[in-house]
Amino acid sequence: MAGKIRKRRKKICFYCSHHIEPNYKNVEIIERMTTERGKIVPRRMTGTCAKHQRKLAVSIKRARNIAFIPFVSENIH
Amino acid sequence: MKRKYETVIIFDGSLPDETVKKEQEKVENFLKENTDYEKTDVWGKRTLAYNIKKRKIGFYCFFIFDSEGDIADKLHQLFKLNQNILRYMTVLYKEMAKISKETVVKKVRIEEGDE
Repeated sequence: MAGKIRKRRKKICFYCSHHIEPNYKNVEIIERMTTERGKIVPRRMTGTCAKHQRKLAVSIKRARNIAFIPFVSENIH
Repeated sequence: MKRKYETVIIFDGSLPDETVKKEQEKVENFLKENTDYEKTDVWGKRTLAYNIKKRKIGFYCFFIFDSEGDIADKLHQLFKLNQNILRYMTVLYKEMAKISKETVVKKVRIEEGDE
């Protein structure tokens, strides 16, 4: 079966709309860009622009190293 | 060429306050001698997202300074052999964005498509 074509509300890049840059110290924002398991969410879901997604990935990896966020969250569903 | 760097250090959270202060001062003194030391940002005790060397709580300190590029190696030689320092990282300094909590919770919604 072919997938349905749904009209999706256009997502705006969080960083562009607030005029800020991704930083590994902004843990609250970084946490929102990862799944429950700790994986980085693809930008087609968050609406982040390409430039900020690259910087965001670097920030997430730095935050993981400094134990602000986990590498893998062990949540048993 | 001088650039602004930031070093994050995670001290052992189970240490008494005086020990942590002494270690902090040691680092600051080294920085004052060898670089254009600017300031220290102390975040204090924080639960770690995962265990580091079997410890669950760390004491976070951020040291900000201006220096040449070869400072990282010299700094890290100090930290490597110190048992009280769990982890360290030196990066180029970028200011933290100041943003209210409501904005973060409202605007950024992630769809969970996890396995």
